[in-house]
Amino acid sequence: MNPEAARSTLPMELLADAPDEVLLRAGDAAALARKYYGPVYGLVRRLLRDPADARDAAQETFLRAVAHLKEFQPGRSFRNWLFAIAANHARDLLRRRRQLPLDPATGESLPELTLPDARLLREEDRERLLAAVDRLPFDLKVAVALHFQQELSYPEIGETLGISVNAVRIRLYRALGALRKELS
Amino acid sequence: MRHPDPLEVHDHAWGFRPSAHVSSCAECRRAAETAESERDALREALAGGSAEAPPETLFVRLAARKLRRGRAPAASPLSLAGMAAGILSLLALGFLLFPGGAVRDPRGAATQPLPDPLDRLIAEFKGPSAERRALAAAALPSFGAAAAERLRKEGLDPALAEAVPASGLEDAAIVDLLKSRRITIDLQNASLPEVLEVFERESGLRFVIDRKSIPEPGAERISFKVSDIVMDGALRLMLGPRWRSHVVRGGIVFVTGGDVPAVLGPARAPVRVLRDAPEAKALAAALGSADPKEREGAESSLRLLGFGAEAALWDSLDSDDPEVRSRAGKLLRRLCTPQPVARSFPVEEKLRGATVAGPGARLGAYLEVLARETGASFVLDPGRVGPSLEVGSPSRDALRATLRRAKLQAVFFDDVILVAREGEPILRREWNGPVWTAPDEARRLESLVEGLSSTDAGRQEEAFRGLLSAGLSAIEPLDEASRALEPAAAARCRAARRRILDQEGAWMADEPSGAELQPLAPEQRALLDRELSDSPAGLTLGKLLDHHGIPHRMAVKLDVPVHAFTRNLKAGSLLKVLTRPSGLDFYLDGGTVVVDTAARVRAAVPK
Repeated sequence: MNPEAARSTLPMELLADAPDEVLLRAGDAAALARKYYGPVYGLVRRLLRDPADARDAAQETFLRAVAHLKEFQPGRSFRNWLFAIAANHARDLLRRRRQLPLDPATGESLPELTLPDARLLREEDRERLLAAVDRLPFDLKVAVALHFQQELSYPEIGETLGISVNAVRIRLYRALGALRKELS
Repeated sequence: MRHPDPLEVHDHAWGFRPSAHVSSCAECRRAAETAESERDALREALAGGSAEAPPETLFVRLAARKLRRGRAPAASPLSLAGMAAGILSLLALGFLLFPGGAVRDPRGAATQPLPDPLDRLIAEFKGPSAERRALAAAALPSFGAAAAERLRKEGLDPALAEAVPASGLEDAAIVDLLKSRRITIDLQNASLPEVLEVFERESGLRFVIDRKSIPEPGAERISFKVSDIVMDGALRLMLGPRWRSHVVRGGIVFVTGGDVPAVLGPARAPVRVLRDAPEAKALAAALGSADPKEREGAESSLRLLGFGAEAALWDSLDSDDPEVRSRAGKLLRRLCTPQPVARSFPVEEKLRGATVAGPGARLGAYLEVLARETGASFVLDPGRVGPSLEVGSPSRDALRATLRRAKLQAVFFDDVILVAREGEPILRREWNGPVWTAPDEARRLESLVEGLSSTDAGRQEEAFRGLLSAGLSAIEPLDEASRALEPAAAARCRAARRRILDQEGAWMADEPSGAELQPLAPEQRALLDRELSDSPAGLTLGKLLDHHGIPHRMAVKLDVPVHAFTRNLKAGSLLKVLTRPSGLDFYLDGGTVVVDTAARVRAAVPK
């Protein structure tokens, strides 16, 4: 039996649309991994930069999720729970490698920022913009990635990161300020 | 007109909180539009998940961990998702059993095809030799139920993979150990796994609960108290009234509700990091030497080669010499069985049978009494464990059980016991056979070690990174590889191992370093062998060395108080347990002890 050939006959369309609750009840870790691997990989790829590290971290996220599934609260978004595991793992990894940039302004106080008088973030500068996002402190970068890449709302980001909605708002605001400064 | 602060404009532009002022003020609206367009630019730059598909190894690893929830799965076996789950699980298992020749590491990069370890066993099982078939049959269950499908495909009985192996020589040794080692337990309201954990810790053996006959081992609460009786008796006393028993098979102590365990527990496979060691053939021939010392020496060298000797050992089964066949068979059986780690330290003997009366509920008081009554020496992990920690009601002479209740661990050395927090990554290097782990993880580690030993720089780098991400599970295979590979590859394995230990903040407790690697003059050795008695509690290491008149230089600040409970302890032992768990080390510069970071000591002390 060739597993590759057999795998191509999988009823993927059935799995892709199955609600998480159904997949969780069925104990189908593989289907959940197929459904969410892309978003989780996208998030950790942004947070860790290195594709190989991101692949490892994305896998580790699913393995941890399976190991700690008892802690998952029904009613909570499974996707956001995965994001929380992924973000924590990425932070631990960077900290262990001493690659986690220290953010001098870790408090949630309001930063000094003037109103934008010109559009500093331009679409044509995508590469520069992504490079600037990569250089953001971890706490700001994870908020930016969850909001703009994964399209989570402020309350969802708050739930995922375990912070208040106001803290999310200020982190995104500070991230924007940092990006403007970086790109100006 | 007073404009709102920038955050309000930002909130408006990003849809968080609309502002009436921003809507009506042309200047603010322009600013908001700019912020909005920036938001769009960010979204466009970052938007979208990744098209990256999950690597195959993820499914294999997930298949190994059955998805469990807090409550029982809903009974909907015919639902589409349920059917799909079944199909996926089977396919994941299929991938595990039929890897298609190439093994992929977690990055998805194809690596060198590895021979399936089951191939040889199946070939041997189909062969004409009864002796070989018996050995293969003994080894097959070590792959567990995961091998059943493969056996079926080969036209063999899948039950071979689930059969309970016949009791071997190692099992007899384990039974002897259970009948001779004594234990004291005082547990209230504990679950069966918790009680067995104490047995595991005290014996170094592996205990597995037969889930078929005891499906919910955590459900029942057990209060159990025995004092200084042999483990075998303690197990019977605990299990008998509950209609359960224990049986030793394949190097494992099974606790079962029936006469024999129905399953062997999760599938495990050894990590084969060495292949066809060149010296193995000559050593195997020496198994039949006329000189008994030479025979014993060859057997122990072959044991150290691990799977590097496997091919030579299988070949030796065809020898005309019954001595060679017998020893080779014994070594092969040993290779195919996970070996228990049950080394006992001299200091443990001192603790057996000691009576601790009324030492109080604090760690310091408990160890003080224990040290006085047994002569054993205890040192608390500096800065992490304090003497005032509650240990509850200490169990008589059951040090490990008492410490475990306070979430502490005892790390034994020849003449001292370090008391550290549970979970501190303190490892031991002593080799007692190949590492056993989940089959997919075993093959992944094999593949990574092989990549690191290859001559291809790209593969080396990939493997290096993979090993770093594997973390502490790669330590023992790397250690094994660094003993037998050619010098350049062995050096890479040592470097990867060192990097992992640094990355994980782990301490290899029985690995010599610093002063232990120095060629010491007699007076230097005497300095480290000096017995320190009457050490005042709470001094820093520097002050403690001052107190005992030991010249020293502290190149790093170590201000934490030292708590040692000892009548007499060698200066070298004290320095070792006080420095190394914290990433420090020491060496001798003339007659002066220098304490510095482990990395700087490594640089200062040539191998």
